[in-house]
Amino acid sequence: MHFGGVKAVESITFTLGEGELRCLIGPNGAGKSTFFRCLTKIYRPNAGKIYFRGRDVTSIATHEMARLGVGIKTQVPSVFDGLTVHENLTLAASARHRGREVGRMVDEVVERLSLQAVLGARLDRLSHGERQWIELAIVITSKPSLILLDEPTAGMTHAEVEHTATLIRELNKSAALIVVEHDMQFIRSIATHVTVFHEGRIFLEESAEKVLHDERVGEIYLGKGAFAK
Amino acid sequence: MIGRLSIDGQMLAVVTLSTILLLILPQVFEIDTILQLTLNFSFSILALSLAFVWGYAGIFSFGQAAFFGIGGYAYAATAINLGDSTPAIVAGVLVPTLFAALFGYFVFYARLTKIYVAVITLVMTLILYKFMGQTAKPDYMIGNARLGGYNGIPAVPPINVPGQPHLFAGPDEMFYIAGFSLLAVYVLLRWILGTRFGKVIIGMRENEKRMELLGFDTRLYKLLAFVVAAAVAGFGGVVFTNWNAFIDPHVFQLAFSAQPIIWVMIGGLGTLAGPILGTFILSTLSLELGVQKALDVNLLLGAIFTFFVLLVPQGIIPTVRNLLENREAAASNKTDGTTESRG
Repeated sequence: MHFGGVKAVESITFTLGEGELRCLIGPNGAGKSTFFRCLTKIYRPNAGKIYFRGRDVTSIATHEMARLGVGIKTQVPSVFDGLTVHENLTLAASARHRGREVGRMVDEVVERLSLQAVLGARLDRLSHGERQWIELAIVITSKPSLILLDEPTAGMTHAEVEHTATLIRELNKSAALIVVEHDMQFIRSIATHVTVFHEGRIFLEESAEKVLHDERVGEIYLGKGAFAK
Repeated sequence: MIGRLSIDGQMLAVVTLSTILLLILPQVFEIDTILQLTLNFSFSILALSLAFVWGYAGIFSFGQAAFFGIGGYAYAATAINLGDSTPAIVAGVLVPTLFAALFGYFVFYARLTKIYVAVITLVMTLILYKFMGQTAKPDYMIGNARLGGYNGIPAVPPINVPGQPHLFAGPDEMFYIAGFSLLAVYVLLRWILGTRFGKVIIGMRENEKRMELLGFDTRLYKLLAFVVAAAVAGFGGVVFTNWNAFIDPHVFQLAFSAQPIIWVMIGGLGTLAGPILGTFILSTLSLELGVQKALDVNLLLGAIFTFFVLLVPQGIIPTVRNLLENREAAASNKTDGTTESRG
């Protein structure tokens, strides 16, 4: 995937198993978010192929990808600002459900994420952390089988981060997840495998423990020599 | 807010009050006021069509008046040819609907951005203005109906009892037909906004990308909203042509196309009642100023528009609603404070 002369993602071979939970790490500009945008078809890759459950989905549209079961929580919360939390969730539920199922699905997610207190609040009146949480709820309500989470804990309190980790582990029982994060403690708490992105390519793919102790990964994040000090 | 309509109390009150008003007004006012109100009803239907497509679906259609004009022409041509208004009303709604479906398909499936949609809909209107203006030659006929260039089509047959062209509507009957048509369009749009389709288009207005990420084909929903609005505008054109017994290309002019935008903005974008209010205020004001000739109408309307854009950007209805909500919230906080201090 390139933008003019800038190659944002290049020569990536990435496979995710059914029901797997993978974390993506890498410094800013490594290509993680662009990779997500390719997977959701917001961007159409200039070259290469994307397969979802054996089907070539390279040239399908964003809404078709969503209908196949790919949901995303973006880095900057993408929600319906002028609508209430309940209306946000109703819209999300009506993407997959009809009639009474919509209300049932909304109630289930409200219960699961304990959103009762903010149900009538408009999204533009909520804090950044709350908006993140609601976007997560929107994604869950649409019942995807592959969930992409781009920095899900950004702007959250410590308690919310812990809650998010628990939720992700729970979601992983019924869906595969790819999580972009920078918080190493959070990554350790949720993932067994980590993929490291660097300059638009996959730099390393290993178990969480190995990756988090790899000096080269530290150098990518902090610069050469950082570990030696 | 996402609109809801089960026939709820509020809707029932609106329908009841409007019905009473519509039945009483012709007994109270003189014929010139009745005619002015009938014109306002037809313009309000046009305003509602823009309120729907722009205020709820987020599609800024600068050329909404084009569908109004197409509806008017389709009615006039069909009524002249068939001598009966019933198929003419159907044509007045169907022709702009089909035109919008074809035009909208290319616009929305090409994924034109908002600004280009506004520009291209305006250009479409101006092309229609030029085209209809050059139809003065006798070659330009639809059956027996001569298009007449800038002179338009005169002596358009009025609405009649179906199958009985000799039983046609006079000014009083036309007032009732136009008034109840506006009420019906209002109820219909409120109902649509309460359905899944209505909620989807509101979601699209709020965040189109998120709607796609949820699996909604926004191109299709935009096209559908555009088509519904065109059908409503076309119906407004039918009522207008009946009021006027005449239609000419001025309905495709830039000045005419800009008017519904001003009505909607002043009444309140994102509401249905606001644009009706805006239409009534500005249309009546235009007429009064035109009669008195003390001030240039366009100058004063421009000043009012500037005032609203700068000082009341949300329009009348949302501003009043916000004021009331804030007062209510302040009163509620005050009560809570009193209760706490007592506690």
